[in-house]
Amino acid sequence: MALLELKNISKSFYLNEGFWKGPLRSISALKDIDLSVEEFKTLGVVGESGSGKTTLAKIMLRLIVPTSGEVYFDPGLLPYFRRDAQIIFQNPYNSLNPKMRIIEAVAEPMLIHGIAARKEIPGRVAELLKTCGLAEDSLDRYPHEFSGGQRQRIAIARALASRPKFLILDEPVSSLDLTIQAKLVDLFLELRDKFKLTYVFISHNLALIKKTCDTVAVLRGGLLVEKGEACQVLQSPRHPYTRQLVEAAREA
Amino acid sequence: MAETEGVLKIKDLFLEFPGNAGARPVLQGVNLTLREAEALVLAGESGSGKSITALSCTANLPRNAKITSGSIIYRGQEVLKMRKEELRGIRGREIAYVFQEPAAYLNPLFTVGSQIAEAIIRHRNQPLGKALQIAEALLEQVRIPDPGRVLSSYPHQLSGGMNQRVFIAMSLAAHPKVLIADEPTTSLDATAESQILRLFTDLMQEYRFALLFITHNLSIAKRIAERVCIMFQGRVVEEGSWQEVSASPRHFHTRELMEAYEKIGRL
Repeated sequence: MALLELKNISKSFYLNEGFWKGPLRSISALKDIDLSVEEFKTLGVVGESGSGKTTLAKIMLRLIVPTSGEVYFDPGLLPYFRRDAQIIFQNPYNSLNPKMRIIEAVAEPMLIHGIAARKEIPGRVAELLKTCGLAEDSLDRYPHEFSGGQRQRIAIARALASRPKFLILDEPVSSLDLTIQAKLVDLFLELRDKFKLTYVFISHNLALIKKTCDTVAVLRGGLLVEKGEACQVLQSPRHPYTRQLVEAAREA
Repeated sequence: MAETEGVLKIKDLFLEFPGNAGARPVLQGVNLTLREAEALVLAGESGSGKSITALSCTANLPRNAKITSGSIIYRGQEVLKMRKEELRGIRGREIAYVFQEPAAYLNPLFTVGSQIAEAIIRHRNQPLGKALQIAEALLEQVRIPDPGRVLSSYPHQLSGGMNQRVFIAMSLAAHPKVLIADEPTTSLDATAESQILRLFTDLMQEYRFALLFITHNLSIAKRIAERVCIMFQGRVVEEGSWQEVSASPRHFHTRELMEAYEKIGRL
């Protein structure tokens, strides 16, 4: 069942180079994308930097509005969209407020969406942090006291705080060490089963995609060049660009 | 002389960051030899002391870092006893660096060409016109298509992979004997990464420099290195060829790195 469906999505950005430089120039970031996100499945989005992966993620969450095309979501599955759909960004150094203690950062979505009463907060947050593999004394500390991997765990806890059903992971591990990446990938898989989550996993690491995804979409220069079952696409890619990516990954 | 068999030799290096709560030891007896014209990969998790080891090679350390003991010999000379002027003579000229995020090291206000030219003027005493010509030739050597156009571009107009090529061109400007590359491909996507790695291998043939490549990803070791050193908590805990290290890792951290590589490092 489709949780989210993108129909004919295009997005252009306009460059204002100044009055004297002539008319506005537009850059097409995405063009005619048709894609659906199935419930309980993980969709991988791959592509080089600048291919439109993050723009796609932002459109899925309506953080930005597409130039043309429609995004449908199933209101039965995502009744409170802003609560039920969350995102985790690449850089946990930028995505956490340095002035908020961990308990505040993780409690904020719970309070906003009325998920927990104020007095339940410390217990709830502690439990969630534990689920994400953080020590119990983390509550009153600040983001700068944690390593990159731990910070990403905090970001995960915060994203899960509103009990979402749909989670977009936008390059969630690429700023981390390979050993830490491997541990976080295990955590993502564990959380997916535990909370019955649907993921969109954005990455340029094909090995990661293979490990986590059911289906995969390959973007290049804003165009969707290939989509299909992850194992099939990675095993026998049809588009020359996908083939090139697979070759680069096999070399490693 | 046994002392000078490597171009760069680090012996029993101890380094700490003094603090109010006592000194924090970062390097705890690093031993490392880089041989002439070889490719050596230094791998380890973040915080293991890889980058600080790299910076020590030209005594180019954060102000509060304190080397407590050990020695670093570059071609028979003790780096740690060099005067400022001597250090200036080897930094960039004899031992050059390439870092992880090229955009952070390139000046956004100057064209790429003028920045490469600056390195050439400084290290090779060429006039500006000649320096720009050499710069263009260097860009061609790092396989940049249309070097003339890139020469007059600003860093923000180029992609991450292109900026990294520019950075490599700049560090090769003085024909260094040693190139220290600190996670130069970590911020790049997989295709750009394999291109840059191939570029390093090619350039080593042409320029005959020794390469010290720092990474947390063992796949790099497999692809470019003759030898791998594994670093953990301020020490080199394992050393060997890729075949040796990957076939029978002895230290548990090496095993950890191998597992991560097997799991998500390759398809």
